[in-house]
Amino acid sequence: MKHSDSFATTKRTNPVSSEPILAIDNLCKSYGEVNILKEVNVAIDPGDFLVLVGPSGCGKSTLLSCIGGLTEVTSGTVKIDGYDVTHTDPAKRDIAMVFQSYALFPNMSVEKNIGFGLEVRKVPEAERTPKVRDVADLLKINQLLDRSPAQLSGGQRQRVAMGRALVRDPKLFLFDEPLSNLDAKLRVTMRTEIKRLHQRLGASIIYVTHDQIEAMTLATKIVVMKDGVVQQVGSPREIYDTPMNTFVADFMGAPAMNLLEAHVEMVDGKLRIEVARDDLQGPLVLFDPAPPESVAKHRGILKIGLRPEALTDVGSRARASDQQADCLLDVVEPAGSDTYAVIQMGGSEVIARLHGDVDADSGDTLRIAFDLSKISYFDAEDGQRL
Amino acid sequence: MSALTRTKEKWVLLAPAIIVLSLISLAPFLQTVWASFTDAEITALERNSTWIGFENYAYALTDPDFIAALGRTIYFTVVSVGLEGVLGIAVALLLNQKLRGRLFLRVIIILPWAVPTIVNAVAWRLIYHPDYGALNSLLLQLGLIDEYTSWLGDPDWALNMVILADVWKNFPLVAYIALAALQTIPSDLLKAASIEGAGAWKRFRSITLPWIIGPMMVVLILRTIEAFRVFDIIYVMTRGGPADGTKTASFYVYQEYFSYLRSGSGASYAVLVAGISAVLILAYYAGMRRSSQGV
Repeated sequence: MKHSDSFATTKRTNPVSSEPILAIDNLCKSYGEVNILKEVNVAIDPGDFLVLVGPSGCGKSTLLSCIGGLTEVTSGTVKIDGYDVTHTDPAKRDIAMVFQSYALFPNMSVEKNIGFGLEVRKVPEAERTPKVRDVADLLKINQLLDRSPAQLSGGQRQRVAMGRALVRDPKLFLFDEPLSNLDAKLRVTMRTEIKRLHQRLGASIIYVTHDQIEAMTLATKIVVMKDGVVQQVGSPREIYDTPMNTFVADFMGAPAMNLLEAHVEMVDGKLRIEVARDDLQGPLVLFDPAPPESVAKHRGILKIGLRPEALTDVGSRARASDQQADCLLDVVEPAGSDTYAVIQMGGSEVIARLHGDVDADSGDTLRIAFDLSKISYFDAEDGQRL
Repeated sequence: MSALTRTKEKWVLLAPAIIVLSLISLAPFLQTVWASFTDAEITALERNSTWIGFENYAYALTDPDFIAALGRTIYFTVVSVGLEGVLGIAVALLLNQKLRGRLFLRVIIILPWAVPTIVNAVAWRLIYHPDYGALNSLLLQLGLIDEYTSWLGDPDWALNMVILADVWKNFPLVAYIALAALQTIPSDLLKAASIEGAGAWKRFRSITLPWIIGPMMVVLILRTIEAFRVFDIIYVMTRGGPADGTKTASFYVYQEYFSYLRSGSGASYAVLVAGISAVLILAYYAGMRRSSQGV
């Protein structure tokens, strides 16, 4: 492990500079009439772990491909470490990429695969071999160096692909859904490992995934995309707590944020929120003592967003400030540590996250505590945050 | 079904093929081998041939004309298969690019191969024609030659010109196999290589060529076996001339048999050529096995 430690310490000392390591300005990409990316603006600082997340076809992989130089951009610029590389050959961008398919060279041993970039750059073998071995140590694949990729398991291939990226010490790492081909258990392990590597090496990483949990757990900064348009850029916490629109609110988090129609108006300095429901007598009425100004002047229908954990059974996680109301549980889904309950209200299915041991069945009426401290308000028409 | 009846069934099912192959392939082959040890001749008169042991072989292996013909055959094989390989892969790489009219190009490129050898040979004889051939016209207009040349009449040029005609006909097959193999290369591999810093040539050497080498081995060894037996194109274009300049081993055998009517001696040449072909076929199988074991 001595080698890998020396590798880690020589890896990089991030310059304290205001220059972003990656800056994308007004990037557009279209194939004929179809616009894949529309005026994308993203910048990250050295050491950032940026995750591009969105549903299939949102353009996140195309964006990564543009950063890597594998796809020609239609307009806009890509700067890496201050240099405009918009039209630079991928080989000259000083980047490394890990592919979903791993893209290991089948005719080369693991050692050759990892050392390929160094070999191409004419690094002498005496220098190359120790570097490859250090990376192999770091990734715990030193016993596999003589094997061919065909003899490796999915997880091992994944490590080799990362080794090939790490060994060159590039300015920027690109990961294109690197965990998608692994089974669920291994995915979690590798996720932790990638996070650990990032913490240890302080590398700048751009990571594409459609898995919002991966995005939340790994990122220091998340870009949520839809239909080629950046929906929101922010830290995982910002994205989770203050989604900019109903798409982000719905996409990030599992189970998704509850979005329900409500009628609001200011009453005695508090926002009165009335949610219609058919299953019990009378609507659900909640009060937000400190609504944002943009909402306070609003009177009428809008959408409110509450995370499932903001709805819980009284007594387990509920706080004193929470407001309480009886709710009819439509479906109860025990999931071990939590129990999820589906409640019909505001024209949608609302999910409440109850204590794992809660004694409740489908059809029961249960007292639910509502935590409005992190409530979100969205325009009922365009879904934008108010 | 018991093992015994299953074995019986196998033989019953194989019997028609075995009988037909025995009649059209094995029997003539054995007859040829037998004849190669005799002084048999093709005559209208009744003539008993006598067993002369290895005399035919001893003569064949010391026959300078036959050895020269073998040399020409090897030259023909190496040069034409080599050119077909290089040209085939180059054209396949081109056809694998995203270019306008790619489908049209892919279709027309196969045409030379679709033309029967005889037709191809006749066409090229016309192209090479000393008085009104297109090649002479082209080279003269380009200023590369001063006067019309009899390309097939020159013993130094004739074999090369036949090779050119043969390459023209056969490179599309190599190109098609190469193209099919190229299309199986995962694009991520080439992307990864270019991100790792590999230029076009390095990508070709490190990724593309190792990936397609298996199918290429198969088609090139098949082409080698075919080229080694070359007969028809030579028969039509030059009849082995001028001054034996294009006389290959197969053509030599043909002449020994059907021009000089020495079937015994001809058989010994034929067996020798078949033997060399057999070695090539074994090499082909070895190559196949290596490529099927994966790179």
